[in-house]
Amino acid sequence: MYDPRTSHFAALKRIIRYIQGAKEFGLHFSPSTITNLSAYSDADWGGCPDTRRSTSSYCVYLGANLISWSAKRQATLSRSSAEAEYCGVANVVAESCWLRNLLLELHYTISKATMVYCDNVSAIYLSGNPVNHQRTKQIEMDNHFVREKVAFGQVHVLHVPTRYQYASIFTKGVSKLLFDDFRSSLSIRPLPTSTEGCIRLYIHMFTFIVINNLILSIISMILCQVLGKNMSIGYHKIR
Amino acid sequence: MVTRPPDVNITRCIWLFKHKYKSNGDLERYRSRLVVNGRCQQVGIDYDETFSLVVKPATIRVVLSIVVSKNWPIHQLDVKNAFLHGHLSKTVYMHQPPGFRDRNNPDHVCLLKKSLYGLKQAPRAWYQWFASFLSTIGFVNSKSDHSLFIYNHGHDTVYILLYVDDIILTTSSHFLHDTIITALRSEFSVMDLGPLNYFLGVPAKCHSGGLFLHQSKYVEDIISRVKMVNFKSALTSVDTKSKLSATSGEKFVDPTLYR
Repeated sequence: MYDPRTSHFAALKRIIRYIQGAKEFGLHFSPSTITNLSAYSDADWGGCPDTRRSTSSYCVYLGANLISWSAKRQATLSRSSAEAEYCGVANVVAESCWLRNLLLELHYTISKATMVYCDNVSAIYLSGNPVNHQRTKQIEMDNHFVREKVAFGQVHVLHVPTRYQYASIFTKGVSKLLFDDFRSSLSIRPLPTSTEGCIRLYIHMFTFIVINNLILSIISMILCQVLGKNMSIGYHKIR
Repeated sequence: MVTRPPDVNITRCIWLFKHKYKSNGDLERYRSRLVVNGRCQQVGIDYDETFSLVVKPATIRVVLSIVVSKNWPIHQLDVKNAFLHGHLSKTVYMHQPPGFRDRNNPDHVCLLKKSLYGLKQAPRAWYQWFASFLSTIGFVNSKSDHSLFIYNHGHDTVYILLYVDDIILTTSSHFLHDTIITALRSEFSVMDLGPLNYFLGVPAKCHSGGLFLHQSKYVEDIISRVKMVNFKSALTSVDTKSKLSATSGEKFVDPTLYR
């Protein structure tokens, strides 16, 4: 804050321009099951150009509703992308433990394991396999509580393709198409009145078409009858 | 009113006048409030602990998620002059309020019996009073979030979320809601503001498909403050290739504008 650069100001202006376009958007809660927690965790390895620390991010869902999210630079430096991702998984497991306890107190016990989705295969192996080898022995001990949670069956760490990694919206800039897709998956949607308006418009169009068809068919029926009569009259006349 | 004791810290006080507005912008009332200058207080002498617990945003979202799924009534309550009720554990002296000085005893000072706005310990005193009252009527204080209070008896469930003096009350039935309101009214001057529509500066909108939280008013305020109303809006929030460094790049000419 005390020594801003031109690039920082440009980024700030970009954010303000973005929120200007997205001011009608908000967080949406819909009725859903409250029996399962799922989480997405992502990290960009060495994302900070000054310190080379990684940024990890996560989002946690209760049923279909987004309830918690975070994007934060990690406190320690990682030697590999797997380590950075593994630290991110540890962060989200810590958050999900807190949420499980909270839900326990609210008398909604989560009996199923928390599903943690991560797009790094090595990090998934690290969470399930209690072996250390040359490239992972430096990982801080406190991150290995993930293994205990996995062993107790409270957490499952699963793989998700990068295309469906919703948490990556917090760590890096993504293209417009992905951004819109991820944003709607994070239950960030426009004001419901506008969607209701859309639905109403569709209903109007639908009724308009139905009524038009009805009128047309009635007209054609009458025409047919009248013409038929005329034709029969004509036929009689001719006969 | 007591005679001024020697060698004690006496806090100053001022009157604050404020126009209170309704949520639609109309003037509601003029409010004047006597506040104490908390900066005159000294740690250990005038106060010990100051923290006031505020509810975590994730807790609010978890509770909202349950409420929407179960279709329970959710109401917003307001406590009038919440901070004036807390009991003080320390002896605090205050100068006589300006405009209300006693002509006969101009050198006397006020010995505070109850908490006042501006005191360092006022939020904590209020929290403790509220929490102890709730525990007497059967609520349990959550361990995961101390600003969450839970009442669970058979099929009856009540959650109370406390953010300083803003309260969200949700109950599993309308009858239970009335019971809780009556119980709260016996101790505090509670106003039921109706179904949740505005909490912590975030407007909430209930509709047939659930609940919707948005901040469009806040966004408009920011944009008008930075005078960028007519700018073209961006589709995404950041560039796909940008990595910002704290030290590289040209220095920005006007740092105060940035802040």
